Formats: sequence, C-alpha cells, structure tokens
Amino acid sequence: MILGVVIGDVVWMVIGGSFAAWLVVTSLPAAGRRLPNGVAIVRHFLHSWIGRVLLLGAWAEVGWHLFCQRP
Amino acid sequence: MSNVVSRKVRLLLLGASSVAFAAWEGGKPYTTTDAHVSVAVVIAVVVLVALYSGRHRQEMKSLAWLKGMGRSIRRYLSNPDVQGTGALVWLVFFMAYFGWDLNSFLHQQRDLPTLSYLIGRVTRYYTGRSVLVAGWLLGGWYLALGLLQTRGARLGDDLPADVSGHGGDNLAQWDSGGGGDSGGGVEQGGNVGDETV
Repeated sequence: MILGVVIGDVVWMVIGGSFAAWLVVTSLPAAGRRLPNGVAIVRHFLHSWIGRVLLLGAWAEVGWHLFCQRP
Repeated sequence: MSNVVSRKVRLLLLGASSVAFAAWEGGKPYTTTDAHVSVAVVIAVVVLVALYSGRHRQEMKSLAWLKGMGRSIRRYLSNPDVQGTGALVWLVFFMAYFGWDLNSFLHQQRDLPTLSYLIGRVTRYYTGRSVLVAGWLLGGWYLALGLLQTRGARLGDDLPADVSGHGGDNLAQWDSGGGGDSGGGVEQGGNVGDETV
C-alpha cells in the first residue's frame, strides 16, 4: 500500500483510465462511424421498450444504491 | 415554431427543476428518510413519465429489436468487422466493471473497495452529492424521453439522414447493415430524429 492507495484502487484506476481512453477514441472524428461511441450505445438501447426499461432499471438501481445506501 | 419554443421551455423547466432538486438533495445525508423518500419519488416520477410519454412512440417493437441484436451477433460471428469489435469492447468494459465490483463486494476487504465505496468519498460532501445527483437525474430524463417519435407527423422526415438522427447513430447502422431486413420491426418508418429531450 503506497500513500493510502490499495490494490483495489489501482485496478479501478486501470479500468477507469482505459474506459476514459476508449470514450475519447470513439468520440474522435477520425473514428467516424466505424466505432460505436457511448452515445450510440445508449441510443441503440432506446430504440425499443425493452432496451429503455433495462437502462431505466439500471439507472434507478444506481441512484438508489449511491444516494441511499452508501455515504 | 410554437412547438420549438414550447420544447425549449420544457427543456429549460426540466433542467432548472433538476438542478434545484440536486441542490436540495445534496444536503441530505444518505441515511435520512428525506433522502430515501425523495430519491424514490424521483425514480417513480421518471419511470411514470417514461411509460406515459413512450406509449406508441418507440421506434421498434421489443421482439424485433431483440431479433435484430441476434442477427447482428450471428453476422459478426460469421464475418467480424470493426464496428462489431468496437461494440464488443464496450461489452468487455461492462463485464470488467461488473466482475471486479462483484469480486470486491464478495471479499469485503479494505484492499478491495467497491466502486460505490469510492464514489461515496465524493457523495459524502454537499457539492459532490449535488453534482452527481444532477447528472444522475438528467441522465434519467434522457433515458425516459430521449429518441421518442413525435406524435402524428414526424418533423424530421424531410431532413437529411445526418440531421434527422440515424446519421449519427453508428451502432444502429451497424445493427442494420448487411442483413437487409432489420428494419422490419420499425413501427412507423425509420425516422427517430425527433427527441422529446
């Protein structure tokens, strides 16, 4: 453990950093239409009721967990 | 013209009320009844608005959407392409998040914090909690009202593809490309450019 950073923090930083890099890469104009970006993924789910309900369910669970169950 | 104005007014009211709620909610510790009731009410309101607003306004029927996903997966397995691989990367990120979070939760060790524990270091402060609540709420409104077809005539019909919506939705293009029949589930045509939010 270095400066209060534990192994779990490092893994989260790697996942988060990779995720952020992928977000940027897929948003670049050069990626164009070849790579689906984050907005395209969400829009894809919103085309039907089942996809929209799945996302809303996840949204509700995330909100309840973060704002009512955790500090 | 009046539709455009009223849409902007609706957006403004929605945004302002969401920010006001977030500012109020930011001061409520997560253990309080106020926090629990307010978040539950917001979830109920957003879901009810989604159910009411989305009635007869979804672009595709759920079964057709699922079949389209199945076709896309089969097509990718037989003929992998860059777009399919891009979508696969998103899936890998989701599984990495979910898997590691589950692993951390099951072990319950100080060395393995869950993501929500880390976020809790931010939401314990007023500003952090307010900002995250605002982002969460605005995201919920987008999920509830985004990409709905306008009732009656669809205003985007006469616009180029890039403007009317499908042009920017590259995953939908990936989903519909090659198969030739994936538009079969579209209820009233292909235009999804008219978003309520």
